[in-house]
Order: sequence, then structure tokens, then C-alpha cells
Amino acid sequence: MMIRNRADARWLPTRFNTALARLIAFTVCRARQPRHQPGLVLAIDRNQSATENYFVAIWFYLSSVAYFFSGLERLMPRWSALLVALPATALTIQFLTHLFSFGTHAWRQQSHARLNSVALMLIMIFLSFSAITTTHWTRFVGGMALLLFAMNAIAAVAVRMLGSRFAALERSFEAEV
Amino acid sequence: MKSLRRRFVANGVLWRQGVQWAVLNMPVWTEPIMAAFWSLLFLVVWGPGRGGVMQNLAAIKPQSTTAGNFFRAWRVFYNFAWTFADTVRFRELRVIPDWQFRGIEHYEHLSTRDGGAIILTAHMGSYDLGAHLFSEKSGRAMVMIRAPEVDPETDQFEKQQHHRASASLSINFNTDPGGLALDLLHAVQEGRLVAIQGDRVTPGIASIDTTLFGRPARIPAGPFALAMAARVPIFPLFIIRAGRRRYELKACPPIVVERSSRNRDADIQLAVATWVAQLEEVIQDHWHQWFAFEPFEKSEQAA
Repeated sequence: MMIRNRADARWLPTRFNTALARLIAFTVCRARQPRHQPGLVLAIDRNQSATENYFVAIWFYLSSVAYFFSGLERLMPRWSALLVALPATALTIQFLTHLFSFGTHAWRQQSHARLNSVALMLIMIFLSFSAITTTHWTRFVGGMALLLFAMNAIAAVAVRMLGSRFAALERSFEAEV
Repeated sequence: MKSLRRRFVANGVLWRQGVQWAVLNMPVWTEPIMAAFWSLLFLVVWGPGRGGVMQNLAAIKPQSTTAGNFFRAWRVFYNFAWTFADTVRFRELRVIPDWQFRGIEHYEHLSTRDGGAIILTAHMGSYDLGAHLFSEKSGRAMVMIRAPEVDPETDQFEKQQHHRASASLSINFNTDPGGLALDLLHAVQEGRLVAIQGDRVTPGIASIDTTLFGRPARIPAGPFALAMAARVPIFPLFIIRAGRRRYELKACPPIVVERSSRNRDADIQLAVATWVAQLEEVIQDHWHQWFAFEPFEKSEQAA
């Protein structure tokens, strides 16, 4: 689905992926006045928000680098641990996805990016729980990650409760499709 | 062994298959990490591509330094990674990005006018995705011309992918310029749109000498000769990546190639000068989107 000539449709909750981002988008979208912008075509897809996408990518990458670094600094000097952790994290994320995809070989012709996303997030939850039980500085990284997960879970409940209002907001843009 | 090694070179099939796999399997939020990582790796490892981009940047930005152009080249590679992924995502999952039309009156003129026309574009943004979307949304039959891939396996792979194009879009690979010219003339006369890239010449294709950013360069002669023969206008159209899953479609005023004198070449040169001026303006503003991995400057050896 696409919405034409409406700049305020950028904040439509359906253009966001996480419950927390959807809730923020819902609040902003309701507060905004309709803004006409000729020649603009906005796609309705849950992964359309650049801000959300970059935020999740940077947060996940930096948290993973921190966990990698904490493991490596016991084996090598700090600066070299950081130099190894930066590319190794990117490669590990890719390797893990290969591993999960190998496990879901039966659906090879379909997209199972969402399934792999859930698996990576579960690993992040596990690592974050492990981190907060230590005295290392990565406990703050772990704490921040768990806080984000908790906030998203609360937002998911709120989004469910506000379901009819979300639907009404979406319907108000239907004329512009 | 040689065949295996060929798969790993920059234009090998492995990378195309890799992007296709990543689009289907990697979580969407890993895109920025992967685009940054792989574009940096390609920048470091692929010397000829890096050299070509840096040489072009030196011509576009005469005051620039080599070190500065190295980082600018990374920006070109990074943008290429994103646009390539967006094209594959559209092909595989039909995910459409956001669009902002600039020069919408020219775009509407193009999509509503009776009869054929030529769309002249450059290796910028996702021209592939733009052609797919334009033909799907406007409902107009379109023929897109592509240069064949150098690597046979990559060429085979690309041809297989293009079989999945929309019904109104057909993709022709420019393998027999003589035969293709006649096919295109028929297509335009039947009222179809023909999309051609007018910023780079591949071997065996007729070219016109011109200057780009003050340096001698060559551009394809075909679109201008076709426009003159079929008496149809040329619509310069540029697809520019404006951000993550966000593109600008810039349509410029049509160029009319008319036979006004006995000197056919002089008439064509007028149209070429207009096209080159538009091309220079767009590249100057969006140098990080120009995916020309070979130097555009005409060398004596190539001549």
C-alpha cells in the first residue's frame, strides 16, 4: 500500500516495526496536522522508518561489540581487542544468520528474516542477562538492553489495548491511498 | 579452479547470490551494519573499482585531495550497497521504497503522452528499481536496455532474475547493437518507452565524443540517433537515493532531437550538449550516487 501527497503519513504506526516505536509514532501522528506535499509517495511497510532501523542497528552492534570486547580483553591488549571486536561482531552476526537459516532450510524459498531476527534478539537477551550478573562495565550495557526490551514489552501491551484507535488513525489516511 | 576463482571477483556471481540471500535471511535492522562492513571491505579489496571512482571524483571535484576522495569513494560504495539491496528486495519481496517526484509535470507528460519516447538515465540510484516501478505504476509498456555482464555466470544469473520482471517491462541485453537498434525503433514506433543509460559506453557500441567536467568523454550515440529516426523526444530521468528506502525521481524537460540542417551530426550534438549539461548538474550535486566504477575520461588507448 502507498499513500500519496501526505507528508504527515511518515508517522503512521504501520511504518514502524517495534511496539515502542509504533506507540511513539501513534502519539506524534495524532498531534500532527495534515501536511500536503505534492509528488510524495510513501510506502506502508513495517520496516520503513530509517530512524528506527538505524537506532536498532547501532544499539545492537555496539552492545555486541561491548560483549565481544569484554571477552577478548582477557586474552589480548585492549586496543587490539577493540580492533578485532569491530569487524568480528559484523561477521558473527552474519555467521549466526547463516547458521539459523541452515536450520530453517525447509523454507529456503521464503523470507525468514523475521525468524532470524527473533533468534538474534534472544541471544542478545541471554548475553544481557549474563552481563548484569558481572561486575564488569558491560553490566550497564546489559542493563540498558534489558530496559529497552522491557519498555518494548510494555509498549506492546499498550498497542494492543489501543488497537481500535490505531485502526481509526490508519483509516483516516485511506482516502490518500 | 579458474571458474571458482571467477566467482569471487568483484563482478562474479557470488556477490549477487550473496545479496539475494541476505535480503531473504538477514534481519532488516542488520542492513546498516552489513552495508557499512561489506562496502568498506570492497573499497579496500577492489582496487580497479576504487581507482575508477576516485579518478572520476577528481574530475568532478577538481580541488579535492586523494585522501578526501578515498572517503568519498567509500560513500559511493556504501550508497551502491544500499541501492543494490533495495533493488533485490523489490525483486524478491516486492518491497517498495518512498518516492519524491521532482519535475512532476515532465513525469506526467511522459506517462500520459501518446506515442513512444526515450528515457535517458544514468548509473545513479536504483535505475533498475525505477524502471520496474515506473512501468508497473504507469501501466505503460517499457523496454529497458542493459549492458550484458562481463562474467558469463553473472550474466546468466541476471537474465534469470529479469525473467521475473513485471508484464509491462521487458529487458533487453545489449549484445547485438545492430539488431537491437531495429528492435528499438519498432518498439518506439509502436508507442513503447525505451529506457537507456546515457552516461557510459560499453565496447562495441557507437559513441559520441563530448566533454564531461572539462575532460574528454564518450557517451552512447544510440539514444540520440533513435530519437531522431523515430521523431520522439528524450526524457532525462534521474533516480537519486535520498536516504534509507527513500528515492527522488528527478524528471527534466524533454530534449527534442530534430533534423534542422543538412548536418545530422551537428543536430545530434545540440541534443548531446543539453543532455551532458543536465548530467553534469545532477552528478555535481549527487556525486555519491554516480555508480561509475570505471574512469569516464576517454583515454588515448581506448580511442
